[in-house]
Amino acid sequence: MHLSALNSVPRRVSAALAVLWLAGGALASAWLIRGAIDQAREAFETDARIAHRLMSQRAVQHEAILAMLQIVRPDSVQDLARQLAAVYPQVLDVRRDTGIAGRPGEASSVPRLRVDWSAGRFWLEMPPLETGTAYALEISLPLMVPWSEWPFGASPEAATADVALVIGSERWIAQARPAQSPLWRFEFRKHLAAPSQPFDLVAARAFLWSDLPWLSLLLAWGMWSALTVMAWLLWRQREAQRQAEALLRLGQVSRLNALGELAAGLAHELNQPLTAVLAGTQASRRLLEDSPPDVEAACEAMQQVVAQARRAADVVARLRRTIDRPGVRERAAVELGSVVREVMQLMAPECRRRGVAVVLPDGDACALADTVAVEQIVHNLASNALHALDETPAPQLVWTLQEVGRRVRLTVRDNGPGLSPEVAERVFEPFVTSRPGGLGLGLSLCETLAQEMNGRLWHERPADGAGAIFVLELPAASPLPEGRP
Amino acid sequence: MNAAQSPAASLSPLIHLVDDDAAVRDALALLIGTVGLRVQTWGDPERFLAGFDRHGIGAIVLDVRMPGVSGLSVLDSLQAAGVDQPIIMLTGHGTVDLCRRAFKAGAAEFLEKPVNDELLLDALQQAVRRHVRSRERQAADRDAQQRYAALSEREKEVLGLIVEGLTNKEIARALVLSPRTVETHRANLFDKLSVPSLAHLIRRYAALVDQADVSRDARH
Repeated sequence: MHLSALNSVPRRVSAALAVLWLAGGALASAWLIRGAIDQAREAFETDARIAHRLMSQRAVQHEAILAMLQIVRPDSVQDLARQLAAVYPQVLDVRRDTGIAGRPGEASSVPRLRVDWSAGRFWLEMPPLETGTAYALEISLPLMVPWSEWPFGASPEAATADVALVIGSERWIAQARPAQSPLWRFEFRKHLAAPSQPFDLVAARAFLWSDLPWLSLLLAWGMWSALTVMAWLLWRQREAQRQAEALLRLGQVSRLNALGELAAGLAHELNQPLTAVLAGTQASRRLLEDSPPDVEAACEAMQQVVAQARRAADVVARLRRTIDRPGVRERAAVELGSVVREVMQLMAPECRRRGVAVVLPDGDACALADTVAVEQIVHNLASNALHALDETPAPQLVWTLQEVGRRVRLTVRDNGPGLSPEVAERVFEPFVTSRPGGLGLGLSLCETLAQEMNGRLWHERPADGAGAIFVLELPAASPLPEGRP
Repeated sequence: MNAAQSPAASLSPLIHLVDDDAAVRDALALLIGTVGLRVQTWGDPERFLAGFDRHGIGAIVLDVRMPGVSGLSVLDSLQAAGVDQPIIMLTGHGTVDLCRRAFKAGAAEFLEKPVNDELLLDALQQAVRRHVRSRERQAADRDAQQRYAALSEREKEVLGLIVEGLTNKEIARALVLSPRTVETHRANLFDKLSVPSLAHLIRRYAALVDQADVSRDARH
């Protein structure tokens, strides 16, 4: 895997996540705003219907009063006007006109409406009776509005909507709100349910910016953002772990490649002198076995052989100098439990993939060691165990920590097939492996590292037979002082 | 190729040893020399390709890993040039793949370094024997061809019928000749082809007669 590829991925994912965050937030906001507008419209329409019903009731009352007058036919209407005004405050006056040329036949027809739009009043006049008498009502428009029950505010000033009574192009404004830039506008228009007073009740309400559900929107965005950030963090963490694993594998592969190249070069460098040595000695033997033996030629050949053996030794010495392994560096107090937990955390995905149950040591024990070396040993033991567990049902890998006197023991046990006696005997020797394709250098290196830390690494056969146990023993150290990572 | 012109070369086989490492070259040459084989050593594969005697009897020992030209490409060049000396490959680490490629390219043997003396010497002696036999067979074939070419058309006809298993009488009938004439031709045939018996005649010349038949049929 290429490193630049590793770095370019997060930027792309972050951008995608940002787009998702914006789109999701916008969608949720639109839904919330739409809900608020629908709710406001519904409330407005309910209010408008109530207002329409109230005004219609008043208009019908006017018709009823006139009808009553037609039936009762009072001679004087002064007292009546006072009494009516007490019950129906909108009735300003009752008029009785006499001597009007009768137009019989119109008695049953509807009253005539005359509106004084600027003064805010109207007259409702009945056609004259056969006696030549006609009754009329003078109604105040402002007083006709039942303010105590009015849904759009209890007075013209406390308006929650623009309300007007309209006939044709003429209108009387009952209530008006100060002009504001509306976000949305609801309208209502309906004929009053009294044929004698053909007013339209027209109501309009503006949905303002301040009517938006700001609190809900804020809460929604807050929660959505928190969710997005959490997802991003989670993804980042997983990505970081994947990268760490990739690097770990990369390191191993490049080490193996280098090792392979080294081995090939070494094989050639050693093979040449060895070929010469073998051929030279065998030729000498043949020369000496001849009769008569050619001692002179054999001696010369043996001199060549000696030179070639020296040449092989030089190759080995040069190799030693070239790959002088950076062994154990400075030793310090190392918390073994933490190291195991960290390494196993890195290997967790592989364990999951292989279905291996890992038991980590609880607690901690401090050893005097080199962290990197311990990590390498732990990683090697764990990866050996994972390979050993390939064919095992319910595979298990158990780490335990134990203090024995002034020493600390880290034990790892697997329930795999275990080591055969032949392999167990030579398992720490270089180039001994039971894994196909394995180099057989891991445990040999681990043992060297353990010894360089004044420790030991050994293999044990479990008492109950199944699996393999490896024990790393290191000198104990006093625990780390508080506050140090 | 005219190896027949230099019969002296066949008397003492010569081994060509190509390896860039002087110590290996010297030691192997000494070892090969102990069984009485002559050795010519080459440190540079290019110079070997340009300078060795391809008509001589013997074998070639080639190191696979050399600076500049690899043993395998030398092997390819030798095959392309039609060199018939058996080639033995030597390698430091012989992978299966390398081994397969070498045999595919016509190597007679593939040995790993450091090589055991018996293994190498056996392989060399066998290779030389095989080479000598193949050169002898080639020489015999060439001789037979020349003799066959020297026959008259009538004699070739008679020979073809003899190889088909016809008796003298049957041949006389087939060619509308007298049996006496056929007998004369037959005696001339044995003399010209220098074979002691009918069995020899058939073993050595049946293939040539078949070839001639085929080419004649093809022409008609």
